[in-house]
Amino acid sequence: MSGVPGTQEEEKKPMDQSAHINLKVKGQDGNEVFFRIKRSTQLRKLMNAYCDRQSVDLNAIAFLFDGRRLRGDQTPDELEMEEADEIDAMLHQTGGGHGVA
Amino acid sequence: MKRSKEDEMILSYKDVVLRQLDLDILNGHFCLNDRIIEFYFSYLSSIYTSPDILLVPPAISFYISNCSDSESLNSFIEPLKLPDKKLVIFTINDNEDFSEVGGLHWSLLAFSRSMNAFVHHDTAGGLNTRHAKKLYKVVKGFVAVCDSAPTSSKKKESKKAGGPTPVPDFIECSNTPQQQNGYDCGLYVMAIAKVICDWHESGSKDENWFLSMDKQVNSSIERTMRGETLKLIEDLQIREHDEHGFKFSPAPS
Repeated sequence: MSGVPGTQEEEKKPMDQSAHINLKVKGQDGNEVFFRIKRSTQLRKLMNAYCDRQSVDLNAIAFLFDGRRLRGDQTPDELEMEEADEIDAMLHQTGGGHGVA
Repeated sequence: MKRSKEDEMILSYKDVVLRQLDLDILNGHFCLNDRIIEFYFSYLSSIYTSPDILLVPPAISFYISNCSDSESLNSFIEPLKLPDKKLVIFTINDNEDFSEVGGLHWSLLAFSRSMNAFVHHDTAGGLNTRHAKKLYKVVKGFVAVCDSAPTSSKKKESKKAGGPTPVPDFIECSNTPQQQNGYDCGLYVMAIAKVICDWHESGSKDENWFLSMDKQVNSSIERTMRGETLKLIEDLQIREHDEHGFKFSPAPS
């Protein structure tokens, strides 16, 4: 992995609370990356940024929040996300049943 | 960002976006991914609309199975409102390497409130039993209808008199049809999920869905179900096109 550390300092900038939101994306390795985006911005932007940063293909990752998978066209507003909410990033699974004769 | 043909969006359906690469998987003899199964589950939820049934998206099942932090676990399980459901269908995947896209085998774990049991359907012997038991151990404590569960506070009528319900059992269903190849387990998961939904909504008098599964799921799905799923995607695509106009022009990245 890229080993880029999370930019926690971004979380603390106290400005324009209403329009923006700080979100945390946590990978399965426990690595956390913080993002600050507008509440009305589609999450696709955050997803792309996360994947670029982790050097993984966007199609390889499922973003999960509150028991649901996130779509790129959803916004923090419509999902009623709150400040410092955590999104989990998980690699996809596949399976066919190998080992069967 | 590069956009190749396989990234091309085909259909956005509920929470799932299918791309050309997913169609390629269905067109060939390739292993199904969680996205295709989630798509099919979403489709089933649209036909079998009973609030008693929950089909858990594979990515969520996998997360719950492998979550080591109890706070995150609660935040994933609570929205599922398990105590309100009579049937909950989970998928099981054997992936243990979280650093890459992985897994070799899918199976299905169904919670039945009437049986008070989790039933594991594995089409490759018991290849996934260990993984199914892992998920069972995590969720068995969350399905009971109990006074203290905050998510079930409105459901007074569902509280049973006579003390707490015993912990549900784990049952490995030995009658599960067996796949004939090394790539179609995902199809069986989809087919068995459909049978369970159908069994429930038809109000069958059978005490479980095993007989229906025997009748309806066999190796013929290996020849038919990929094509049927592709046709379903195509139909939904046409419907979406008619309703909203074509929305997938190449998006700026």
